[in-house]
Amino acid sequence: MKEKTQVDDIDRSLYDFRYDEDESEFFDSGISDDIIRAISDEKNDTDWMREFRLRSLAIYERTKMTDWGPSIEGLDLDNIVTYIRQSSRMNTDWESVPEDIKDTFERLGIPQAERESLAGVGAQYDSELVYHNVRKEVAESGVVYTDLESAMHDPAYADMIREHFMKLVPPTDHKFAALHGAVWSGGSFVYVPRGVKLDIPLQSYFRLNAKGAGQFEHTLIILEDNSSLHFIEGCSAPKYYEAGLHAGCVELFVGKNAKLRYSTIENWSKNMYNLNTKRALVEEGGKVEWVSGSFGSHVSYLYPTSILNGRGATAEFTGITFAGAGQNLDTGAKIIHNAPDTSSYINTKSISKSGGISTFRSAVTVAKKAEGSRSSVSCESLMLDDISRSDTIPVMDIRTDKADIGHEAKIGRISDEAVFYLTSRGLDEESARAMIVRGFADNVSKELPLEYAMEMNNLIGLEMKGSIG
Amino acid sequence: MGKMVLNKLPAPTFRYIGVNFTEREAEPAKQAEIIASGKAEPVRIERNTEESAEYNLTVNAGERLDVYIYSTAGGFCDIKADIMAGGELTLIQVFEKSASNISRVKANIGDSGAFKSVVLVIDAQDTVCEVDTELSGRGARFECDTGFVLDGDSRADINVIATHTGKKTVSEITARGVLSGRAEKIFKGTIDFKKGAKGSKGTESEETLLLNDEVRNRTVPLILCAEEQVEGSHGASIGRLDGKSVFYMRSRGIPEEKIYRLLANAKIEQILRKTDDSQTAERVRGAISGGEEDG
Amino acid sequence: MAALLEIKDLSAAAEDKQILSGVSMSIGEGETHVLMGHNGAGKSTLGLCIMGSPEYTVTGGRIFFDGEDITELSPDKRAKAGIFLSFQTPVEIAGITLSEFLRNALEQVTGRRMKLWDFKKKLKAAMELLDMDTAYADRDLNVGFSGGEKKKAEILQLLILSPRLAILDETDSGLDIDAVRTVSKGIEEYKKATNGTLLIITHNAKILEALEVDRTHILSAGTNADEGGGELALKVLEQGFENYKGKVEA
Repeated sequence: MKEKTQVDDIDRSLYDFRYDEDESEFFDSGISDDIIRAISDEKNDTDWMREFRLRSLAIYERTKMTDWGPSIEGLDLDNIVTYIRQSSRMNTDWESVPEDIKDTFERLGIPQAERESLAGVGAQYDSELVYHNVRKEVAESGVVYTDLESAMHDPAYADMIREHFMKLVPPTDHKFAALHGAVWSGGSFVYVPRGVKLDIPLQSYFRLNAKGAGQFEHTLIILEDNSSLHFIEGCSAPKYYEAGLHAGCVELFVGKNAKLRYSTIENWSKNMYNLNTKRALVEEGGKVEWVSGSFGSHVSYLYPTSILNGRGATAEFTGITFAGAGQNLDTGAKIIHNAPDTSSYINTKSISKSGGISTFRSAVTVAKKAEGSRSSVSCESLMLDDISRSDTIPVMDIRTDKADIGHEAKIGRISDEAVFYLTSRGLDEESARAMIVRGFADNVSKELPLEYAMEMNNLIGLEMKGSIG
Repeated sequence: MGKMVLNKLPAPTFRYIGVNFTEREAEPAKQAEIIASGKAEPVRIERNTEESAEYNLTVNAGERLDVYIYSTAGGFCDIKADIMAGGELTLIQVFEKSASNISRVKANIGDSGAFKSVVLVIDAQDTVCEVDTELSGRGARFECDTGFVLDGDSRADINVIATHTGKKTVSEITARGVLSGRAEKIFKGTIDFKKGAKGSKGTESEETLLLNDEVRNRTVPLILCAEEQVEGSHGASIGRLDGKSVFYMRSRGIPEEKIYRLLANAKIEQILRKTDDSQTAERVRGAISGGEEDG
Repeated sequence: MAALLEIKDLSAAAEDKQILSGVSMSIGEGETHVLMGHNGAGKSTLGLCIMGSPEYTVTGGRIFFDGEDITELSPDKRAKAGIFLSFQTPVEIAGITLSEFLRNALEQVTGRRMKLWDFKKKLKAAMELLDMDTAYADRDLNVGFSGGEKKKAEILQLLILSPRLAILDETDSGLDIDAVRTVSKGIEEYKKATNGTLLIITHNAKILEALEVDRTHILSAGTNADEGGGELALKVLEQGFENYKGKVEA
């Protein structure tokens, strides 16, 4: 019986996008319909969106918590409304931002104005300007890059949004997807017309500070056939919020022969529960490339999913996770091969230090109709001391013989020889170890634009500070 | 008979893959049979009734014990094994033709002890098998080889766990086999390095050939690690035979169907050679070829 | 006398790259031919196409063996018809011993199962001829064999299977002088025992010394550049392929 239900939910959430609300129980979430209506009023929602929010709330209340993965006991689920209220009240003052975060800004060389905006303080000046410049350049190519709320009211895109919004990640997917559906706020909408290939990357970094945008933001990107885009989300500076829950959602629609690269360096403040859901649907000949660095948050559940839905579609996932003191980062990727001749490549590294827990978790599913598909998964973990933890939990589910699936995983430590070699050339031990870790992380850094790669390397340097006992 | 939760994955994962646990009807045996080391000959057990059985295997310090269990009628077999310092246990379980099997092995290996486990599933209809071993003694070794040849509607769910608690312990988990017809197989292999298991090593590998597009293969290789001074690795390759090998063999005159039979044999043969028991080897070879004459 | 192997205007491509463009060749039963050309001329591709490698698509022309069109035949059917190709890099297969593999192949090619004892005797004799340690018979096919051992194992298979046509693709490359001599001995034995037909791809004069070469074919850029008697092979070995490069490109 149990087994049957388990098989069913893949069909429900990933193939058919049907709403189906079994396996549920009621409990009092502390969020009332009234609160949702108030949010909806404030956002000036369309009718369907208001209804969608209310339906999502009902699903949220009925959906059980996941029974695997890191504990989120620290989240006050009975009083989830506090997190939601927090997100709509974003005027913490600079003084209340914790010292370690201010420090990090300093060391990363982030300008004052941006520091404040990243920390969730006040309005932003420089960033806003840059954002508008980007917007102008982009608009000339016919690309739409705006916030989701405005797009929803624009007659040119209203239908498109209704057609796509939370269709890849339905509220029934899991508890926090349902919560997102009910309370989402802010985020980006990108539309790239057929055949348009954008050379400059779009960066949501510049517009993180729309009211409450950081916490329940929704990103919807639609690439028409033969187009291409590089979208960069976040940056390596910590984003600080008083409230500790991030339940964002990213939905990417990649048309025929289109190519989307989605890069993220996530560095939430270390009090954050990051329960983010990212998913891409890739049509014939299309390609999605995820480049993902996870450094921040207290607890993360993050598995960008690629659904390869058309012949010859490809997904690449390159990731790094660095879990330090007090962090439990459960990250990885999911791939669903749902059409012939599709390919997927997952290459991840994870690092655990100072009692941090990092878990690589993946699932590669090859459907019966995905003949001629290939998948290759490679994950490597590095333990920097013996008080940390590193787990590797991959699954492969193959339902056709005409597939070629490879997997390799390794776990280990920095070799004493390597440290000795570097120190013998004059590096102190801490720098030597930091250098080795940077080298270990180069699968991600070499995929990032230069300035991001440098920031990430700085960040690794910071994380490695004081790593020698 | 009550439902039993079997083959639990030590760290559960996404539910939709359906690998976190398995349930089957099973009844514990009324009485446990004790088998101790110090015998001149291997102990051969023919399980040709469905009756539940429980075996407590005791390997005394420095001694060895070889237990070969051939299951042809299915049923529940619960095995506990205690391997004392320097002891060696070889446990071969063969699940053959048209049986519905549940097997659960819980073993503990003491200082410098060794446990060699072989699981062979040859066209058994439904097999749920777990080999859960703790390497608690310093320098304990655990080798677990699983081979499967599954056809028709047969399915196998195998869960191997190597828990390293002792220092300098070594585990090696392999799984090899072929799936044809509408066969379904789940292989879960976990290397779990507990804190303090310094200097330990664990490797795990799987090679599964898929011969029909109605088959379903699930592979779940876990490495759990709470200790810095360890080395763990895993590799898997699942799919068709590579084109080069097929062409090479065909160029020597061997037709495609025959190639796959040869390879099914080859996968099992690699395991049989390690067991070094001609009786088991002959029996398994016979089961694979279906009594095909070899003169 | 009708040719044993007749290649007519053969073109072949790998993925989208055209490698052979209109190659023709005719080899009579019992003859020894040499195929030469600089690297990348298409020699190995031609051998692989005759054997029916799925890596290449025949885009034009036909291949006839003993008067039958074999262009569409699967590799195992070609082997049964009597074609053998020695591989430059033979595949390693764990779990199947050399002896077991060869016995299976022989059964398929001849259509009958040889008595184990007779087979072992035959295998032993051939291994001794090739200076191979008989322990190799019970080792897994090519697994852990050195380069030289792999080449010898290929010639061993040639001797056991005794095909009508043997295509030897640089069986001599990477071998020391002694090993080349041993391999040559194997080839001679094959020739003597079965009046076999040979197509030898080589850069090495040594291997040709003991053989009477009937024809030499020069390939360049995937097509016939020249053809002549046995003396042509020796001439090319001395002077290289420079003349042919120009000739085709001009």
